[in-house]
Amino acid sequence: MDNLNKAITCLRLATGVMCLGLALNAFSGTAIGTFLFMEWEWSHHSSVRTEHIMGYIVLAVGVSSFLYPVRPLLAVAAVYAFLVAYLGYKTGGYHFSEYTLFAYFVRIVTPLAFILALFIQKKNWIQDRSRSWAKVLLRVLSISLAITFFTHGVEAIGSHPFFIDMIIGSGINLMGLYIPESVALQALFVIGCVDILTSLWIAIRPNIYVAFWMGTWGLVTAMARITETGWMSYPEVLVRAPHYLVPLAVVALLFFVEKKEEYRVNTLATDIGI
Amino acid sequence: MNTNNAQPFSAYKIYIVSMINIVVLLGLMPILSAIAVTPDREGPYHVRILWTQNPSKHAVVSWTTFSATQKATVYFDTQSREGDLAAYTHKSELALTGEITLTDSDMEMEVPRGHYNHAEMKGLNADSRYYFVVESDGKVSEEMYFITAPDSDKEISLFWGGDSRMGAADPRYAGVHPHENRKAMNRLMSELLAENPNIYALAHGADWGVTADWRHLYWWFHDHELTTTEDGRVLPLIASRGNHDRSIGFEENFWLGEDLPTGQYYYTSQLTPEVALVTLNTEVSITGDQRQWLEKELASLRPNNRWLMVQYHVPAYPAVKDFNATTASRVRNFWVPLFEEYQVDLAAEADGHCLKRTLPIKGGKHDPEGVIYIGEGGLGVPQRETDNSRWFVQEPGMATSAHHVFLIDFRMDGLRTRAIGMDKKVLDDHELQPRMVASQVE
Repeated sequence: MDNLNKAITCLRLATGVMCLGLALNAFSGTAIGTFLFMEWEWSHHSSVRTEHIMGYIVLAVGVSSFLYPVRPLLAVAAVYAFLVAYLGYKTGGYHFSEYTLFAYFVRIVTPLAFILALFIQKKNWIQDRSRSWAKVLLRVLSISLAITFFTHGVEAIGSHPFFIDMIIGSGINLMGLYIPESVALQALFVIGCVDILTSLWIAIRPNIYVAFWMGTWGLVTAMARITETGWMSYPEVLVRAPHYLVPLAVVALLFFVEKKEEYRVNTLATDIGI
Repeated sequence: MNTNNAQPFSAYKIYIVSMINIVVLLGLMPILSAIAVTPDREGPYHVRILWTQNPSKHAVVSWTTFSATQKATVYFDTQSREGDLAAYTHKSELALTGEITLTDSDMEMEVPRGHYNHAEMKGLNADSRYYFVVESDGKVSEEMYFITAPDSDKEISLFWGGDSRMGAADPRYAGVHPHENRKAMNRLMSELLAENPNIYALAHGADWGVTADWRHLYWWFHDHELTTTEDGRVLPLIASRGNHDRSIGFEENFWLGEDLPTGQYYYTSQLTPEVALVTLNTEVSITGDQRQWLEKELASLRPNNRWLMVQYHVPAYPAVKDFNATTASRVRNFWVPLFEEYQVDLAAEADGHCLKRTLPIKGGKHDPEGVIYIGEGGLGVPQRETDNSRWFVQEPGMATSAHHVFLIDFRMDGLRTRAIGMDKKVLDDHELQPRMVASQVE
């Protein structure tokens, strides 16, 4: 499997797993239901039912993205992810809700990036053209990751109470160790700074090591939902799939672009007889 | 010919007159809009009483003004002085004032620009009527009164409710979409308060407004005035903070006095020597400093109180929302074991927009020795359908969708909780035996 296909596989997994998470969240209640009930004054029954229907649609999109990705359906996933984020911002009621669109950015972009990746794959262009489109894809993914990680960094530096509880709760559950709140706050400051630095790095100059770090950290922070509150929080891990799979797609794309670059230089050297 | 000459002239004249009208109207616009948003009476607005740790001796008086306050004094006495400032025995100076933060939405909604004002009444006599007026820059409020908490082992009653927010992000008020449900609940509380002088305060399980921005709190405080009885009895508030109360406006308008740290919103109110209400905050870290404080507090309160109650916003045992939601799980994992260890008598929760009373729960299952969780919030917010298949709301528990306020009677021989619906019907009636008596018998 070449590196472009590896990147496509990462995006396929990220989209599919995220859609499963989104669907599970829809069945247990999201900002969409709250918005329909509180803002549009629908009956609670109708709001919940509508949310469930949307959940089934997203579930279908998730399954299809694993088996047979259909581009318009992937666009539906992106629209749904946007809707959840936008209505979360509109209805509020949680910390840093004003940053929701930024925090969810990579989730919104992932299905769209998957569409672009499929487009590149389908065209089967000559190497130079596919390389330049892969560069576009790499840029889109790097900047999306950067926006999400930067926002999380700002929230961490802003002492997000959820993050404090995640550190303390995971410490108790994993190690039987009580981490005082003051220590958790210091850790959050460092975590926030690292998030901001890595997001700036990946946005300005995508790098394999930074992308690996982001993928690992994305997985750790997603899993922290389970280590803190238990296995029943698994939909929160699924919905964050782009946080740990998109960085791997970035790594694969970096290999793809750099190898093509090498190939191009070598071909050029041969052509001019060096 | 005349006609030909007159037409351009009259068109010119109409143009000039129109322009003058537009200029005049534009000039008057700020004045007209100021008139449109000017409150309908002079003097301190939104006068309210907050109870914190020691309501038999202390209360916070808060009010709104519509210009910066230079000097303000609260005059108070155990006898009515009918507003004669010189006659009041006690007075307290303004402790904290400032301009209320306005967001763009507040300005779009043309809510009057306000200033928060707070003063503390200290050294009060227990179980006494205190008549008070607020003088703020020469303007004096009407005389009102409240009754301080008793310092003897007396039977008392308390309102408990939550979720008094309106439906939408923009407040829909008079003429647009009157928030009648909240007003109706406030009128009901006023009626019940007039009938039952033994009710001392309203403990609020939070989500006061859609946000704690001024366009919401302005109308909340306005509507709260409806709880005042005809003879001027004010219903003191015991405030908790919810997920919709996170903006700075909450801290500006709900000041808990000098003894409590700003923004913390977890504290114990000793309502009588035998009744303690612990207010917790689900909007700050649940597992950190607050949990450590809670453990110490419950350990010291339990042996000394017949009745030990807790209130907070996000429910451990939700009757509507996701049982596995993060905050609900946190409350169950980190607070509930303490409630069970220290045998809390009653836990009041909000957020779900429904009415519920759970089975007694211990160790995650029905246990007659366990803790009962009531509430979920019905002080005016639109009500959701409950999930009655959940094990913890099966009989003898209950769950339904209805606006309500709980009337809690802390008696010597029992703790009675009644959920009173908007039409004053009793929707649920339940009684608990005191735990300490039971353990003493053993």
